[in-house]
Amino acid sequence: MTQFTTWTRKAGLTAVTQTADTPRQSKAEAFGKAVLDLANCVGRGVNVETTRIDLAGEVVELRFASAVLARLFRPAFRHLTTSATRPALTITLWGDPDSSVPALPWSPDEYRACGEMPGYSDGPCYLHLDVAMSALTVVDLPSGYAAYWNRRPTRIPSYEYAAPLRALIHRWSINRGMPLLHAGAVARDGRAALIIGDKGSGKSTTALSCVAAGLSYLADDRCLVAAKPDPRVYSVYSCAKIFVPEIARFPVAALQAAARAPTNASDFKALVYIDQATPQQMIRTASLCCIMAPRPTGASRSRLVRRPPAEALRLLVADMLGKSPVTAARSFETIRDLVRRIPFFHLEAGTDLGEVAETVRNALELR
Amino acid sequence: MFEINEPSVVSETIDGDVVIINLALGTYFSIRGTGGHVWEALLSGRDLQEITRCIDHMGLGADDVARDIERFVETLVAEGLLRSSTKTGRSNAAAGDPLPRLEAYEAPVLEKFTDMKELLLLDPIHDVDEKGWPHGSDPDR
Repeated sequence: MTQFTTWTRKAGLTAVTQTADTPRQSKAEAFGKAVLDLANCVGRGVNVETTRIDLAGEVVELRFASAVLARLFRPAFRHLTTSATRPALTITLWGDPDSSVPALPWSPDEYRACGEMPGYSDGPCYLHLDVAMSALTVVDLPSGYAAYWNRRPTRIPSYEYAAPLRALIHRWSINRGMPLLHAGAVARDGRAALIIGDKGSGKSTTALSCVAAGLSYLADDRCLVAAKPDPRVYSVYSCAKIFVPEIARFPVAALQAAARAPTNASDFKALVYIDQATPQQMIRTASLCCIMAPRPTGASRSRLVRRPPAEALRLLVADMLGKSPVTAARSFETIRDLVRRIPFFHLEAGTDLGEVAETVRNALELR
Repeated sequence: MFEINEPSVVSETIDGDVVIINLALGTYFSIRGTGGHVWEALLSGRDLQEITRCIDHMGLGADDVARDIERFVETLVAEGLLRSSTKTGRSNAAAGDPLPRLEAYEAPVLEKFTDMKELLLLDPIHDVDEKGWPHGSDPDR
């Protein structure tokens, strides 16, 4: 508590009244307000680069007060750029050494691996701390203002800037009934398949196989999904990730040429910005008609096997655990509606990637 | 009688398969077959005697079935998924409806998945700087 009142004076920010028995949620709101006050100042600087994107039908303004963050994060959202005004959400992004943030209000034993802290991430002012990335996220849901601050922007690894602001986007969108799911999505003629599964199960390989076969691309790893009024998927990131030795398996010059090597030795995946590699195949949204989980078989042939919806629910649930109970409960509502409304398949994926794509294409034609 | 331990627990039953999540602990559970049948009966306000009686109609030993179901419910309560209900009477959906008959009986089982719990509960961080940021192993932090 002493630490908290100290930083408010140091930063010269809005005075915050604190008492010894302030509940965590109030403390979160006070801290969040202080960070957003700071973001408001930083976001009005002369060197701020502003981009507006269409995020699942809402205009979101990104104010980059850090040249490094602008360079790293903007490409992932490039395909969503819009000229629309009146943003529903304004996000200011900055980092050290441009400016710091106040001291963190929670105690060391309150950290969780998912980045959410009990009591600090459950209210209208959402706080998230990614320890591994040294990144702080604040989202004030009622006002539509958010802040992202990174302590070491020059050291953000490629797998992070391929899909930036995940916690922020998930928290904002879940209020609209759209969780940011750990899933890929590809489409044909406006009908999409959601590709789910654990890390390393073949989501990216399946998605890129489909791109190589001419299908439209929405995501390889994260996308926004709505169950109502009709199942729908929205692209968030244009960047696909693929293991470096795998790139040669996709016989499309544009994909191979666009693949960028990972930025550090611990990251084994190359990045492919689909909006640059094959811009005509990058789409923003499609109607969802099925869910599939790749199951590499080692055989050459591929096929679809219908599976019970509860299995899809279990797979999707595993990813949402660890989040705040509030956001997890809302994700669960969307996921259960989704698995009840569209069929779920195992994609028994063979070694012939062309046939994998053909099998997905056939699934998209099922009525 | 019992009820689901809301708000920390949510569940969904699809075609007899039940998926239950304890949001507070980051664990999830699966129940199939007879267990799903019992879970639904419990949530609709039936008591153990009625559930046992219905299953016993399949010609199974009443004592064995009662013991299976009691153990199952004890497990559900011990995992924090169910709690004793202060409500009286059945849900509207269950009132007056006979309990669906089981096609086949097997002792109900609660499958527990705890893999995410380890991710959820990060080791406590005791080493932080003056602003509360945890120290990593990076010497250049």
